[in-house]
Amino acid sequence: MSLELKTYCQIKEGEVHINGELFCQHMDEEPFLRSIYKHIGLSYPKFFKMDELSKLGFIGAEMTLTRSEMENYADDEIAVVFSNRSSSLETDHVYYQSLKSGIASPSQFVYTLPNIEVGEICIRHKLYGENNFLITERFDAEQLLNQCEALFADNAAKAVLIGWTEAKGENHDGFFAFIVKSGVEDFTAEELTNLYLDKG
Amino acid sequence: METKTSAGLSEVYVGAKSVLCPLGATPSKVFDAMLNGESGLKAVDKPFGIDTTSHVGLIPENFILEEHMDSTRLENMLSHCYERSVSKLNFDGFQDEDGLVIICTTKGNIDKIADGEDPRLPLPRLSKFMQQSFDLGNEPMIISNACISGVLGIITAARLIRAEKYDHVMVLGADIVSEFTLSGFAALHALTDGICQPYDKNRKGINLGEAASGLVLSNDETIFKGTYDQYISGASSNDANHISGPSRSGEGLHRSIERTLKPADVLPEQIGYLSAHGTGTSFNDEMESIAFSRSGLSDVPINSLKGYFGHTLGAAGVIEVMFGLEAMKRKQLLPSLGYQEHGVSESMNIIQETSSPNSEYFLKTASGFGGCNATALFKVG
Repeated sequence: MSLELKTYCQIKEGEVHINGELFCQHMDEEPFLRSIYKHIGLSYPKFFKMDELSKLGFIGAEMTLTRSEMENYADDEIAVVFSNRSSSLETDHVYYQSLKSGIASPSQFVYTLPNIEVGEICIRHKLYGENNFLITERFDAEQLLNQCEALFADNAAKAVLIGWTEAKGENHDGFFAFIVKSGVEDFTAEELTNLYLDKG
Repeated sequence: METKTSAGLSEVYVGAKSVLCPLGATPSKVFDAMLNGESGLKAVDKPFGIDTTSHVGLIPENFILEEHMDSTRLENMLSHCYERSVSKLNFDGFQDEDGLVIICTTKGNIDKIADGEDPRLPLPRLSKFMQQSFDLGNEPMIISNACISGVLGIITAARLIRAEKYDHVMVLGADIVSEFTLSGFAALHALTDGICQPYDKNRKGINLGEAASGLVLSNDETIFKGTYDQYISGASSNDANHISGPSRSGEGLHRSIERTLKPADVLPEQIGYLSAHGTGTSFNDEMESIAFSRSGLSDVPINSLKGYFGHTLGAAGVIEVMFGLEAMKRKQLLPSLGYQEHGVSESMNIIQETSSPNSEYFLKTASGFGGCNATALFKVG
């Protein structure tokens, strides 16, 4: 099975890179993800209700999907497979504090699952396809591309939005890529790792 | 021996069942208890300090046998199932590179959150723990995709085998009952009083239960010492509708069923048994009735196993597939505990007395927060 990389996006250290090119930088006083939201002229009030992890995934998906000719795919042909190390741990702590202060917050509890960010992306882009959320110690290009190959081999998807999202306060580490089945190219885990590590 | 399906895909076999839940520590013992109508859900006075009358499914301490150095409750549960499933194979573990262990869990060691920075809290710890404890040839994969984690783990295992990434994959599902999850579902007003009543007119919500369960999928049926069945197909689908409420039209669940049955060339009326998610909440059960009706499954014998051991979150898909396969093998489909008066808008053929399936096809569905849904199809016997 051959894979092809269509688009990729990195959101890290106050900068957004798309296909390796600097797209925007964090300049103002506003939180980073909110400033990107404004920079690209989005109008999606639900964004402000999301936790930081979902905001990161949401922005990354927006950047990547809108540059990947997604109109060429049926609404259930694009899979979303995300991964991270910390699951929803940041929001887990916020929820747990609310519980200990005497008022357990149901709206925070809902965000104590990592795949909620995948749900937010599917709602935004009307994606009815396959989902998966993997927890890995570090960015694991091999596991992510294995998922793409496995989905393609099973005819379960024609494209996969893969993602890695870590968000702790204003520290973000987001990497997103749109992977399709290819007859020619053979995009490898090593190449993907190099792109993630900025060695592309 | 590796064989191919008509579509050119490897056959995938499934067996080597294991379980640890409030009703027992072996599949046969727990199944016998369920046949007797026993429930592992018990009244506990203020469980974990939470003010609820909802019964909970707790595993008795003396069931959790294996203890490793600084292992947690959940890790002991995972170890139990790993060892029991391996004991049913013709090899002695997953030390080689052709094997993979998938751990399906929503919250892992969430009982350690009170300690602040406990190193056992982040989920990758489970992977390291299992790899070190059992000298595994590959780092276990962790799937954390809400309440479909278990079914999704099984589908993912089968796909990885068919994509020739691994020959054998053990899928372990596990979650504990904790202050964290119990308080959260209480805050959402999603807990029932007493014991849940899936699809019943008087249903009020869920019970939480803790469990671990294991299954092994392989392209080689000779690895199983005992009986095995076949995994046929599976799919997941998002509702693209709401993060914490199911789609009113059952869109994602309906699509995941269609995308499971069509490639397998199996018609809805050929299904002998449908093990549904059936949490006992008003919205979930109603959504399922609509999705099943849209999918042509209204006449298929169906149950929810939640009344026997509660909603076991990340373990739910594995334990419910495991007992679904067991029920098909024994030709004893269990009554849907807690169901008396029909309380969803579409008609369903809910099992009320132990009965025999009239076909070899078994379908399992699950739905969860984040709008996710998953379906898997098996052939038994």
